[in-house]
Amino acid sequence: MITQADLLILAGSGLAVGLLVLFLALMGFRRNGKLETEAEVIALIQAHEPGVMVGDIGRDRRGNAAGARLGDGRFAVVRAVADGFAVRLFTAAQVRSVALRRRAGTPVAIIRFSDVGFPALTIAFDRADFPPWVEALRHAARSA
Amino acid sequence: MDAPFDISLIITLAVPLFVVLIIAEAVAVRLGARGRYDAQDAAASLAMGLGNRVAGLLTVGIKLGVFLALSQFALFDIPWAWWSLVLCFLAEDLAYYWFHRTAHERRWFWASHVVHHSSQHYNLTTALRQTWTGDLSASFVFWAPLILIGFPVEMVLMFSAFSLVYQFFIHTETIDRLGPLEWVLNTPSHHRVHHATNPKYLDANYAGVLIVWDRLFGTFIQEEERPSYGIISNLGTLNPFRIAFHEWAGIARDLLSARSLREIGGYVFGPPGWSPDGSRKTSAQIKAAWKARRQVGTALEGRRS
Repeated sequence: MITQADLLILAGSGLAVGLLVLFLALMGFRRNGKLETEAEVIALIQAHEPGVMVGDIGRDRRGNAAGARLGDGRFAVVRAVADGFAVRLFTAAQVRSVALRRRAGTPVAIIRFSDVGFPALTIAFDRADFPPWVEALRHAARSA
Repeated sequence: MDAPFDISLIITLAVPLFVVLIIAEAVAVRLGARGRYDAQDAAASLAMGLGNRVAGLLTVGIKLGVFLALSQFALFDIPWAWWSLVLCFLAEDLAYYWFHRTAHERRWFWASHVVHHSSQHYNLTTALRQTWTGDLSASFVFWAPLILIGFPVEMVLMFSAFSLVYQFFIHTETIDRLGPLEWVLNTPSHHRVHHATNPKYLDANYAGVLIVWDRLFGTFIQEEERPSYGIISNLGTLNPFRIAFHEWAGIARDLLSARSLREIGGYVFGPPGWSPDGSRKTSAQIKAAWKARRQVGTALEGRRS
């Protein structure tokens, strides 16, 4: 049974956590990861799986995410998480849905994965058209 | 002799020390010491730690109930004495080693433990990134033999709490090596290897306090190249609820697609990364592939020279 003392300790711990996070933010530990170049995207994917061929890269215009098609037919996405990046290499079967939209002329892909630990990824591309890998992924995900 | 103090206070009393040391480590990193901090990642880790305390209060009754029931069948009535404290410390640390090793090798226990490894950072806040589902998944069964032998329940819980507090200190990059202590104790260097995803470091250094268990059971690896932290498939989120339950959701998803008892067993109790068609990779397979690549590389170098 949870006592009043337990609740007080929890409340105090919660306050300490809040102050600690504020302290870290004020210390300047709040840099957001940003994908500046396609070379950076390739390097991150190849660090995840050495030797894999990466092509047809599509990058988010704000540098938050990127995707690519791999030489073996799989796909890869890279997303900024805090000051780093999370990389996923996947097949179409691991994707729940791919929605393609245009927002003010910008091609936007919303990719939903079946993994709860990798939430839906929105990529507003830094180009006029959708990169071919997104179209291929949507097609493959529909038929998977 | 009874428990010398209220053992439930061990973690509570350690919290202020944790806060002070996190501040000290962050300042050291800002001043140039080795290490990496991010406020958002730290917030997620600390939220997991807070959630672990809440979950602990709600579920500790399960563990206590099982331990007290088992204590009725204890082989011996071991008293609180200096010799029993020494024995219990060793036995608890050995139990932790096997719990921890199994938590990496069996998906049922990994689903809880993965939370602790889900940060790509390695600092003192990572130590507090703890599971919410440990008691619910019966992780405590690894300590049941100690109760059945006859160690007092409070003594076992006391050393378990001390071990947890000790392990807080080793989640840091700011301390390099600790000289001769590296032979006996689990140190920051040894534990960095444990948190690394570099193929050569996978499945290593499961110790709690004493690294001797890894040396004894063949799972010890020395820190050489710089570790890269996290899990094989790093999370794309800092949402505490997704962190806490993503692997359980993964198990549920896989079970829905299972076509036989063998597949059900593999998905729940097989190694993390197991799949019936081998399309996913376990850490042992990743390590084996790395070793094979290295051997080919060495052979080619040999031919060239």
